[in-house]
Formats: sequence, structure tokens, C-alpha cells
Amino acid sequence: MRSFASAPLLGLWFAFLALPFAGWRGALWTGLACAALVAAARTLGRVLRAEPVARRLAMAQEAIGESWEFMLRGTRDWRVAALVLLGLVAFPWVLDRYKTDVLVVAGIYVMLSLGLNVVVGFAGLLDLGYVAFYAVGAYSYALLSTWYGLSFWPGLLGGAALAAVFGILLGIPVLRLRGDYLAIVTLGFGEIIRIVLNNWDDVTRGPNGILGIGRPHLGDFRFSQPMHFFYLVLALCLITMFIVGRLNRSRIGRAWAAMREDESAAECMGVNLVHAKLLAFAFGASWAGLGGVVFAAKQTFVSPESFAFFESVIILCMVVLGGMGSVPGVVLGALILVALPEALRELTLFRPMILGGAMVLMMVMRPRGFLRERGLRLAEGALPPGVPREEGR
Amino acid sequence: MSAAPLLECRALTRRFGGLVALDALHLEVRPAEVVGLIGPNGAGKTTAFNVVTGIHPPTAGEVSFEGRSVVGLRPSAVLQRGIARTFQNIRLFRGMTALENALVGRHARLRTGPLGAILRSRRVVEEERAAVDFAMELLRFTGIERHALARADSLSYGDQRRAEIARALASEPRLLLLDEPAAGMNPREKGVLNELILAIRDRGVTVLLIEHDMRVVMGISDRVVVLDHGQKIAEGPPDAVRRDPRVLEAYLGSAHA
Amino acid sequence: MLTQQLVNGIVVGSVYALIALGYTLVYGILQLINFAHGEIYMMGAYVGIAVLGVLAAMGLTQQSLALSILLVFLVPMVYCAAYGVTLERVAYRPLRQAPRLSPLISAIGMSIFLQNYVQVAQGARDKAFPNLLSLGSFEVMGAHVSGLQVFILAAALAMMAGLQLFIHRTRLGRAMRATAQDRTMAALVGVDVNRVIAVTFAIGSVLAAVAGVMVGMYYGLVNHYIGFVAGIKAFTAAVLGGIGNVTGALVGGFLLALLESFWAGYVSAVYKDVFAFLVLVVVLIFRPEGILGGSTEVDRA
Repeated sequence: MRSFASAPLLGLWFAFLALPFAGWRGALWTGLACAALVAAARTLGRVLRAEPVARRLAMAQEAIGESWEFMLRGTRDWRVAALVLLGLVAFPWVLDRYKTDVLVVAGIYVMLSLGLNVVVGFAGLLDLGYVAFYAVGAYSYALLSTWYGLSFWPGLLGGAALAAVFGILLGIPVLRLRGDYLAIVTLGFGEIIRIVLNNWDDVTRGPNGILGIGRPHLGDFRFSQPMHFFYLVLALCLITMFIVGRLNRSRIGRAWAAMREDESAAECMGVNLVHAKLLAFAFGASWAGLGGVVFAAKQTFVSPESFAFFESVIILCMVVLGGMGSVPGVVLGALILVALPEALRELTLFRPMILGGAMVLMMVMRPRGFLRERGLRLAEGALPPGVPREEGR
Repeated sequence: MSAAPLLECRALTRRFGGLVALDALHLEVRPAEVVGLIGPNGAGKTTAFNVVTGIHPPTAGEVSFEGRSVVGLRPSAVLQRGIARTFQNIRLFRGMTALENALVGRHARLRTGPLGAILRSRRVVEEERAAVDFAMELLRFTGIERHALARADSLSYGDQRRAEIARALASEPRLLLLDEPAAGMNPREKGVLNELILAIRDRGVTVLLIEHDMRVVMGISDRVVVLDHGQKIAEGPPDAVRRDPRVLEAYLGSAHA
Repeated sequence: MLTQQLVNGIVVGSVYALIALGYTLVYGILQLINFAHGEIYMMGAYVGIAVLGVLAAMGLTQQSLALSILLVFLVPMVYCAAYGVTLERVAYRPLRQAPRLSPLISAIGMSIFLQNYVQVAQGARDKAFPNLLSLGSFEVMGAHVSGLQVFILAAALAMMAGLQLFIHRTRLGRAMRATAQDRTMAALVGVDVNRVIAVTFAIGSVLAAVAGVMVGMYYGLVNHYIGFVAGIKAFTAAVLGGIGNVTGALVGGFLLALLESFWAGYVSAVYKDVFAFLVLVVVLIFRPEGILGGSTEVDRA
């Protein structure tokens, strides 16, 4: 940006751009804010580029990554893992009902973003209609539950399976084409699902939505409190992290990564792109379906409103900000993006702008997100001792 | 000379719009040979590789490998049959380590599916362990073992070329197609490469290589095939080809004379 | 009925075609789907409203209708060109060497940003586009045709003709075509690629601005959401005609709108948008290079 123009000129330019929308006064403020921001960023940049600060900054960044890795390595030890689990389990006892409910929502988003991370982060396919599969899961359980009284656990499987089928059907037409087409086709598909849900009154009851969806049972125990759902979602999140992590550190994860890096080279090295793409796509979709079923069971009510395009963007944002491909990063991204609006309620109206701006900034400045991918895509223990560790990754 | 050909191209033709990149090419590669494929720029050498490996379907003609046609197969299926390749412009998976690159090359020889990867049974772990051992052995064989855990894009140019060869060998091919493996290497590295290629042949892998560096081609090839304008203009032992007037004519005025 | 659908289809088609041109021009040069292009179109309509507001306050709409109409188109065109160029500079240029996914994500982020910005600045409710032209209407073969519709078609055709002239008759247009064929080569022979890309964004945005103002005039209402659906439709049109192909965008735009108009008239009005999407999927399966496209994407990858 340095060669672009000076800060006052930039301020003037953005004031000009904002004029028709913000009026004279708004344009003035926009211009001043832009000029101030640019000037601040430049000064900061100059200070940060100075040797000691830059080194400290890089060290801090490295330290965050390493401590995160250290924590994760720690949880491999069963004693630490038990302690962490105990802490998680204690949450609903410490927090009030509302906060517990927020955590449940956060957990659902963790599941969704981990599923999307398989598609976008691992396999490098941009899915902009992810929420459509979420809707498929939610509505299929809603309908099966209200029509046939299907209970939650088979509904969980059914919703996931149906979403996976949709994922495969949608993936087939774009298999041969560049990833951009997948983005636009999924975007269109997301809209279609919303339109159908809104208009197919006989089945979906249109904008009114479906009421009275069954809650999960476990024997005689009925899930009703946020606390119950917290444990359900926590368990599902841990299972998701486990599964996603294992897929990544396997032959499948390596094939996805290779495909993401260079599609046709991967195909020449024996990776069947059709299988690899469809698998990623179906897996991502089925996880969205899973999340949808949990969502429907928790709310006991679904309506098309919950499945707007913006939901897809939020989930994508969690993946991008957290660090595409990094499981702990994506979890972090999901938690932050659920917690932030809770903390900054007065900014609700500006949320899309903040998210959109953050996505652009993240791509331009730090495309890897908060946490970059680390570690080999290889089963732990498969690496023989004595392999020289070098420069690192 | 009597052995059945490993790879056989008959009247292989490939057009791009009006351009004829391959013109009724006949090419035979017999087991345990090192065959050099040379010719001026634009002669159709890389196109021949792309057609054989299934990247471009041939416009006409036939490619058979071990007596069976490979025309119409996806590149991944061609590799499965036993033909692996490297690329003229190195195409490693840049963000992955050298070891991971080699493991991707091993992909077609491994069985683990999604369910196996999640459950990770003893068989799966054994398979992974064996795959790593095999990949490490190849990195040792190509001389880049100490860079096993370095990102591919942090390797030196010559090491990247070697990593590509290791990746291709990981699929245990019976035919290896090398596309200008010596490009960008210094004379010392070229010497090492020559020995590596001969060692690959001694492992029982047949080699077909495109190369501009005549010392490399002439030094290690059992047979040399010369292409020009998509056609084969000469074929034979290196010494004979070197003196062939048609070859001299094709190269006349080109930088590689 | 039939001719009426035809008339409606042609009018909507000229709008689709104008927006599709923006997608196709950018795709031709950068192989990038500019997801924020629909928002530029939406913003064009809003700038048009703002201009009308100022003109009305000055009493100019009463005094000189011709000048008013000129300004209602010209100012949004200038503004949208500025938006397009800024968009490219901020969100795409820094990512030209980045992995393929990065500019796509940046584009979608920009789209969200702009949509929300307009929502915050102008309110979420529909905004009325003041009626400037009352041109009356007439009947052709049983179809009701308004003067406005004729005006829209004429304006769109004029823009398209202008674009063709620009691409084929000017130095910059030649530079654009050269860059679209081979960016590296064009740079080697002295084409300022950055300038060409900026100009491409400006031109696409100018066309989108015209489309936005026309839609505002046609429907009389505008909201911050119109760019989204129009964007998908226009992209479908571009793919239908053959993305990267200028004539293809025109053909695709009119064809899609006609098909859609007949679908809405004879099959289902509610699922009109669903139909456009089906067209996109069918084209991608059976002829991904589009009606007029040459080489397939598969070869290029």
C-alpha cells in the first residue's frame, strides 16, 4: 500500500467514494477515519519493521504457536487430558443458563466449521453454500420427528446421510472444473434451498417454520436443559476433532493436501481426484447435516431464517480466521466468532462489515490465519526414530 | 532387442487446434532400458509424456503398456498401472515436506480408506509405518534423506528434482518418465544424477527421459529417439544418432547443437 | 402472452448482459470470479437515487429532463468505476501471486462488506427510485411495451456497441485482449498489465452502474440485497455464453432472461431463481465452455 498514495489523499479518495451513501458529514468522517487509520498503520508499520520490535513480534507469534502445540501434546498424556476434560465438564456448573446456551451454540459452530475446514482447508475447495447442508440436516430431522416421531439418534444418522447425498449430487457437475465454479454452484445451491424452504408450504410450512421437534432421549433421560445439550455438543465436538484429525493424518489427508497444492500433479501421482473431491465434499456436508439435526433438536423449532447465506459466510470466516487446515486454529476461530458478538452487542448491525473486512484483511496480510497448519500428515508413531528434524515447517 | 516392449506407442497423434504436436509417432521402450527422448524445443516431447500419462487424450493412435492399452485412462489409473513421471517445471507439493511428497507418491499402493483412517487399526498403522520406511528408503536412495522433514519449497533446486524422482519412484513404477531432470543443475549435480538414473534402472525400473543436456543423454541412454515437429526422425544407439544427418539438420541453428 | 414474455425477457436480458460483461471481462484477464461485482451494480442504483435527490432539491429535474437523465447515468458510472478500481486495488491486487483460494475469499469478504455498508448507511428498507421518465406505452402484437423498456434496451445496446468499439478499435482495448490471451507475454511486449487490469475493472463497473440505474428506473425500488441474486444470474449468463467471451456474455444474458421469463410465465414464478441455477448446473455438466466458448477449462488447469 505504500506506493498507493499519501494518507490525506487516501482519506480524500474514500470520502469521495462514501459521499453518495453517507452524505456530506458521513463522507467527512469516513475520510478522516481512513486518513488517520492509514497514517497510524504506516507509523506502526515503521516501528514494527525496526529490528528489535520485528524480532520480538516474530518470537511472540512463534511462542503462541509453540505453546498451543505444547498444550496439545500435553493432552496426549491421559492425566492432562482428564484434567482438561474435567474443566470442560465443570463449565455448566460455573456458568449461568444463558452462558451455557451460548456455549452450546458455539459447540455447534465448532462442529460446522470443522466440517467446512475439511472441504476448504484440507481439500482446498471453496464451498459458499455450506449452510444448505445444515438446513438439509435440520429439516430432515424436523420432518421425520414431527411426522413419524423418529427419535434423535437415528435422526442424527439420517440427517447426516441425506446431507452427504446432497453434497455428492452437487459435487458431481463441477468435478471437472476449476474450484471457482464449485464456489458459485454451492452459492446458488444455498439460495435454492432457502427459496424452497420458504415456498414449499405443504412440507416446510414456509416462513412459519416447523414447531414441536422432538428432543433427544437417552433411555428415560430427556435432554431439556442447556446443560444437557452442552454435554451432548461437547461430546460431538470432541468426536469431530478426533475424526477430522485422524483423517488429516492419514493417506486421505495427504491426498487432500496434495490436491489442494496442485490438482493435476496430484492426479498424476495416483490421487483419484473424483474420489478425493467427492469424499471431502460428502464429509463436509454430512457434518453440516449432523450439526443441523442437533440444532433442530435443541431449538425444537426450525425456520428458513436460520439458514441465510450469511450463516455460510460466518462459518467460512471461522475457518479462514482460525487458520485454514489447522484443526485447533479453526476451533479457536469458531469460539472467537461466537464470543465476539456476545461481547459487542451494540455492533450487531455492523457484524457483516466487520467479518467481511476481516476476511479481506486476513487474506491480504496473513493468509494462514491465527494458527498455521503444523505437524506431519502421518499417524503418530509411524515415523521411525532418528529421522533428522530440519528447518521445520 | 527381442523382448516384448514395455511401452508401445503406435501412430500416436495429438493435435491442439491446428497445431499437430504429435504426428503418427511410433515409440517402443523395452524392459530395463534407458531411452533418451530428444529434439528441438516444441518437437512434442512433453506432449508425448502428457498423452502417455493420460493428461491429454490422443487425437488418434494407441498407447499400450505391458500389452494393454492405457488410452482413455485417468492419469491416476495410468500411474496405478505402473507408469510414473516427473515434471519439466518442478511440481512438488510445495507446502508439504519431502517425506509427505514421497508418501503421496505411494498413495496408489496403499489401501487405507476413510473408515480405516478414522479407526486406525493395527493393520493401518502397519501400512503407514511400512509406507514411511519405503519413502525414507527412497529419500536415502535419491540422496535427500536429511531433508525428509523440510518443506519442499525450502529445498535447493537440485534437491527438488531429486524429491520429484523419489515421489515418482514411491509408486513402484515399472516405467519412469523423467522430463528434463538435469535442467538447472550444475555439472557436479548432473554427474550424481547420471549415476542415480543408472541406479534406478538397476532397481528394475525402465527409464524414458527427455533431456536437453547431451552429455547426460548420450552418457546413460541405451537408445536415443529424436523427435522433430511431432515426428520421429531418428532412432538408435547414441553414437549413431549423433552422426545422423537428419538429426544435425533438425538441430542446426538451434541452441542445443 | 408469448410476445409479452418475449418483451419482458429482452428487457431483463439487457440488464443481465451488462452485468455479465463485467464478470467475463475480469475473468478473461485474471481468471477470477469477482464476487463483489453484483454489489457494484447495486451501488450504482443507490448512487443514481442520490443523484436524483440532489437534482430534485436543485429543481433541475423540472427544468432540464435531458440533462437530468444524462447525470443520473453519468455520475453512477463515474462512481462505480472508482469503486471497481478501488476494489481491485485493495482486495485483489495484493493477492495476485497468492494461492487460488485467497482472492476468492477476499472477494466474498468484500461483497459482504459492501452489502452491509450500504445497509448501514442507507437503511435496510427498500428505497424508492423516483420516477423520472414517463414515456407512455404502446401495444405490439398483443404485448404491452412501455417507452421505458424501449429506452432500457436502446441504452444497453448503445453500451454494448461502445464496448465492442473500445475493445477492437483502441490501443487500450488491444492491450486488454493481449493481456487476456497471455498476461506474461503482454507484459513482456510492454503492456502495463496493472493499468489494463484497473481499466478492465473500471469498464465492467461502468456497465454494472448502467444496469443498476436501469433496474432502479424499471422497478422503482432498490434495496441493498439486489446485487446478490443479480450477481448469480449474471454469472450464470456469462457461463452460459462462455466465460471470458464478450459476445458470449451478451448471448448468455439475453438467452437466460428469455428462458427465465418463459419459465416464470408458464411454469412457476416462485421458482424463477431456481430455474436459473438449474441452467447453470446443466451448462456446467454438458458444455462447461459455454455456447461460444473455445477451449475448456480442463485444458488450462
